[in-house]
Amino acid sequence: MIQVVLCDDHAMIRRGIRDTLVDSGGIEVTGEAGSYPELKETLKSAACEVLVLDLNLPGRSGLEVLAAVKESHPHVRTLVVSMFAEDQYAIRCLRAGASGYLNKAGDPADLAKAVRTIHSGRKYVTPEVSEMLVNQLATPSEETLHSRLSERELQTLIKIASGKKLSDIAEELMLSPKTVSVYRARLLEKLALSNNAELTVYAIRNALV
Amino acid sequence: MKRMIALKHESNPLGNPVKVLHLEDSDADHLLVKRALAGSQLHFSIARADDKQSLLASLMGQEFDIVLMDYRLPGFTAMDAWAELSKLSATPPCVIVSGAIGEAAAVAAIQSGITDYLHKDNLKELARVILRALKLHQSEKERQRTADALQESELRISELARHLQSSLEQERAAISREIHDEIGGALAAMKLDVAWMKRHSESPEILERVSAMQQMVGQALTATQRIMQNTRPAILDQGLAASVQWLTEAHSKRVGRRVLLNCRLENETALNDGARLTAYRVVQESLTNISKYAPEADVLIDIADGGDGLTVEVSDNGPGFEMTRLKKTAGFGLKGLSERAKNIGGWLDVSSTPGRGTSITLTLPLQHHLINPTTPKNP
Repeated sequence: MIQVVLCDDHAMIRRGIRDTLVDSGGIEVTGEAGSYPELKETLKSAACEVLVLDLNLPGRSGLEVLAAVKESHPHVRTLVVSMFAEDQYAIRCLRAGASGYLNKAGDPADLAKAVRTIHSGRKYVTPEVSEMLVNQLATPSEETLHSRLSERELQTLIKIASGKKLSDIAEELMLSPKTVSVYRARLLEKLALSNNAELTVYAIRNALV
Repeated sequence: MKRMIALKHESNPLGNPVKVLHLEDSDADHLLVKRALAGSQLHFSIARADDKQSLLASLMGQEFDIVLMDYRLPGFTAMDAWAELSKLSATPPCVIVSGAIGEAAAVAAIQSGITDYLHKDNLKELARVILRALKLHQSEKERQRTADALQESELRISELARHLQSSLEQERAAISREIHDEIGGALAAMKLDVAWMKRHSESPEILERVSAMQQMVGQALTATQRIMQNTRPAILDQGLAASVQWLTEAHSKRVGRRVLLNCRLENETALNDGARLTAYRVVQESLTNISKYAPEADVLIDIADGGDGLTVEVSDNGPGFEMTRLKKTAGFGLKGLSERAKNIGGWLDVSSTPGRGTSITLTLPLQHHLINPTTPKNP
């Protein structure tokens, strides 16, 4: 029997989740909590392998509670359930140590599947979440100092290096002079330089002009 | 009665005897001025100062409606006297009454704010010159008052806009929370119970209805989530980078075009709620515009926070538009964004070239405004 504790402020939802899990067989609900303080108490006495945790209860942020539970009960695996669609919170919860994330609008049958998967030591993610995870992996990583500059910043650099005045640069880039001076300040900061002359030298050395 | 007669010709805008201060070192010239005024129909009182000390003392002692000044006095000129007068909170109009001073000096005097110049030989004109100076001064004061009132009212409007904006966002957050707590919870519970009924019923008639219910509850839940997302996406709580990423993914899914997001935030925590929300709304509104007017365009979003400023740039390679259209009816959404940017100390650059695309850049100074937002006090 997989021992599960439920934490959700909505009693009807707790009943619904409990019935869903119990009906699926092999799962028993050993404790229920309607708030985070209650959860703390419940976890002191109830045997718990998997915690089904609502992310958005009144009071403390659910992510904080997640961290607190991981700290006090490291063996407990947590399945986060939330009214918010996966794209809003799932990855953040997984990063914070949750073993799975379920959207309450999803299929109730997924609940039991998720609890079993998590209990077996694996993560449970919906196809939506796994697609997001894959997308996050695709980030480029080559770096020279100025490859971290935006197109506009680079143009500003090149124009300063060709001796143009800030006001002319602003006109050419169709920006206000104030914005161009923010770009200039950022260039100096990013490239660790201190004036226009050094910007020019940098641009020449890197064959930008 | 004398006053009534005087008013017939040139009405004195003050209505009372005109208090004249005459800065003049020569007794004879002072007498001449006095006589000229007495011979006119102007109702007046006159005091005299003959050097810098007595000028300052007179100005301290009482207010004057007008100051007549000789140009050259021992040790100083009318221009020095004017410099002193200009420091007063209510500077009276000044007229130079002097011998020939040359065109250049007269022009310089008028340019520095002295109202008029009258040659000593022309004293019969003095009363008229004084009245004209008073009128000019009066209308200048009036203009200044109007300008102040206008500025005041613009300030109030922009405060009102700021207030409306923040009420709107607060209201949205409250509505979203209500929907989450009151409707979302109930629907989620129903969904679970309907599934339970489906598992525990044998009757085909009940099962048929339960299936229908299941579908409806599912639709209602999805709609609830969509409404919550549109009013105030929960993802905003996870910071600008996360929420903009979410927006861009939604956009490229919707229109099927590439959106390149280049987020180079180094210190997200320095952004307060106002900054984050404004940046988010700028991206959101820009993407909405792009899906409307340039759905075929590729989009580049660049967000960075170095150089004491946050910049958020959204550019596309769509059809673009003539910048002159902005001033007309088009771009009301952009005006709103621009107003929002101003409200938190930033500004919006909009540039577009027909055939080349559009670029919208929000810039927010990152030093004091965002870390310690100060709300201007009502006067």
